[in-house]
Amino acid sequence: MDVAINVHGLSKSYRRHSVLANLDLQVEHGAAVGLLGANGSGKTTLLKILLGLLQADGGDLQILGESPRELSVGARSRIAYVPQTPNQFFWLTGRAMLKYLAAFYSAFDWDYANELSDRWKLSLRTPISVLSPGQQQRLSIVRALATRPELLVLDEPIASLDPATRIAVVDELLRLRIERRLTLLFSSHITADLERLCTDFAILAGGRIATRGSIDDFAQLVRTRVEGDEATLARLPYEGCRYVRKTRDGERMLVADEAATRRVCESLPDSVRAVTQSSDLETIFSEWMQ
Amino acid sequence: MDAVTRLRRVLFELLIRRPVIVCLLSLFYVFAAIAGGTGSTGPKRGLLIAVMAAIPAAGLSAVATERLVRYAASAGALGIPRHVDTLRAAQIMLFLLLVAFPWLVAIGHDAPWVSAAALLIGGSAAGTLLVGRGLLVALLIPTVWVMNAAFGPPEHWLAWSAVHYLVLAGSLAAYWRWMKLPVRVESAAPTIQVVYSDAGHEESEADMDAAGNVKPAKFAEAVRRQDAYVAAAVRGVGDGQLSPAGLALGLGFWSGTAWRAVVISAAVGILLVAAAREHYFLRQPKAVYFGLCMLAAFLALSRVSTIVQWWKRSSAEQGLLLLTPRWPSREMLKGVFLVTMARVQVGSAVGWIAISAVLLGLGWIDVNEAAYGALYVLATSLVACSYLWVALGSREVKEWQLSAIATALLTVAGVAMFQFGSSLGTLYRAAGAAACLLPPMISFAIFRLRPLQFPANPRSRKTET
Repeated sequence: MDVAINVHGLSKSYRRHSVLANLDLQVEHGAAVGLLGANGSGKTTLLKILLGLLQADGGDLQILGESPRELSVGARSRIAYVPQTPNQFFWLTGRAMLKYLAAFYSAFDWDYANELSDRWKLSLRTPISVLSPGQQQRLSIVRALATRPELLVLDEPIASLDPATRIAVVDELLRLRIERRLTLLFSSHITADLERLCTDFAILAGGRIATRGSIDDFAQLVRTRVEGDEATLARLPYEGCRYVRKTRDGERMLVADEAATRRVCESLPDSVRAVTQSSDLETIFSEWMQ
Repeated sequence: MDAVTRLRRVLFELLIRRPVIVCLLSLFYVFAAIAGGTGSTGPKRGLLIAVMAAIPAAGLSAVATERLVRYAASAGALGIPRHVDTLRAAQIMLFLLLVAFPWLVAIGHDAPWVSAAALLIGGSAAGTLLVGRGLLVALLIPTVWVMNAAFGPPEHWLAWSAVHYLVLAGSLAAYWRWMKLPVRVESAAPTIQVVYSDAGHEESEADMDAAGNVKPAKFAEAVRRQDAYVAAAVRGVGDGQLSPAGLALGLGFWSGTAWRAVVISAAVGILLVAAAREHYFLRQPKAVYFGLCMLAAFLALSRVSTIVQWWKRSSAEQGLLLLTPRWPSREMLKGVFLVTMARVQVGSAVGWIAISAVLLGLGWIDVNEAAYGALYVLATSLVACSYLWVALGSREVKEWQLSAIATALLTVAGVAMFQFGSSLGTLYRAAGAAACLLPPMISFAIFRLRPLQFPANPRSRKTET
């Protein structure tokens, strides 16, 4: 399969604190992968390492077939990045920033940049420092899209946007993914947007990709709470479950598809009670982030 | 966080951002301590201590005020609670450290209390005024001129009690204004944001212009000039070249030279030496010349230090630049940094050369004095360059770069050994020259051998995970 990002055995520590440990991740060309994880789980670190902005401690990495730390001119012109903090180049106006950065690209699409700015009501002549965070994020996305990338890496890019603009941005990304086969690696906490945009989800927990699957895979998952005495709960096999968590009260929270859940429930002894709960994506994702 | 920790952190932040300048200024306290421990007793020794402490008080007050305005503006925009109280406590602490404590030491060494107070609080107040009210400090020059014309040499009228009380009163007024600065800045900061956000930045640019009181013609001119500046800065990028202006624009600082300011400064400098020759300013034209040399050196240091500050601050921008296809390789970027470093010091160097050449031509200084002037400027420039070289080669940038501080201290010692060691023999002078030259040579070797740290990795930043 045609792979845009290939990571194997990636590790990274900040002094003694291990952030990423033996992480594997593949992103195929044309895929849109939503990267989820709790705050501080290492999403930004992972994205920065993938782009060559941080040095990994170990592991094999390739982005568009090249090592991130030695990206060729060709590879760099095909990659765009929207960082988490959107107020870059705050000493310039939006227009000056775009003009400055456009000089470093051979094919910066000014027509598209202007069109997006008009559509998203973005004032390019205002100093970036006085734009609202939402405006800054729009500008950051315009800047990235106007370079016409093949691979777009976005680090929580829509958190400050109002609902209307958020929908507009997601719609535009969706259009580009379908029409131009744009590959997306998208870190966000807003699952509703990820659901609309992404083909796959990867959940980062404990320094590695704890689970990965398509939206259809995750849509089939349900959460079940299992109550009973600790000795019995500890002995149960929970076969076929994607995730098992022990709560503070000693209960077990299981995430599994409906068939596996049914099998687990049927095999439970009488002393144990199982309650299947809400199964929307946000609830399912939040289980891995506990 | 408890109040004491908060206060300590704020104080630290107010003074830490210019570590090399802070260290160099702190040397005056060392001189004051030496003056306190040695020499003859009496009011002169006390006054010498006050003078030595007043110089860093002015510099440190200026550094602290510049940071204070920035933090107050950010805190005001963000609406951080109790920030004003903490800043005010930090201001009081600064007053105690920079003015009150040295004053007690000075009067403990028999300095007249009013004179010592006038010196210390006057110095510190002048420092606070330098940020934003520099013109008021510049007014001192014509004032001294007028006083000289009316009452004779300064050593005469500066000894008057009336002058001391006047300086004291003026400085206290300036200090009072300074104490209210955080409140003023913090309360104004949200208004600036509101002007833009409530002016309908989501609506139309015309509404925003109206609310922001922007004149269309002026704004159009500003946009045209900015476009021209950006176009000039990125000229050559298509051919794989990056100019110092292009690098500076991407990192957020200015690499040019304000030639008009250089010409005016050189002219004012020459006039000051002329005034000193004509029995004004303590009749020390050579001291004034060396003072001007030091000023040129500090200006060069400050410009190079600005590159380091912005390089540390623009880590996120550097990440974006690094991903652009035409951004130069790290090796080529090293060359651009070297050229930029030289370019930002051109103004100071030309100003110093102009002053020295004119004074040499007029016979007001001799070749030896000009050579010592050159030594000051060159040594300070090398300290600045070392600071940048080591920073650019460091995997992780710390707030206090110990190597830079050590280089600065070694250079001061080296210059002193070189200048005053002629009577002690050639070896002594050679050691002085080595102390000046070795640290920059090592720093340059580090810069050449280590990979350029781009994007910068400042240690103080919150780790993003």
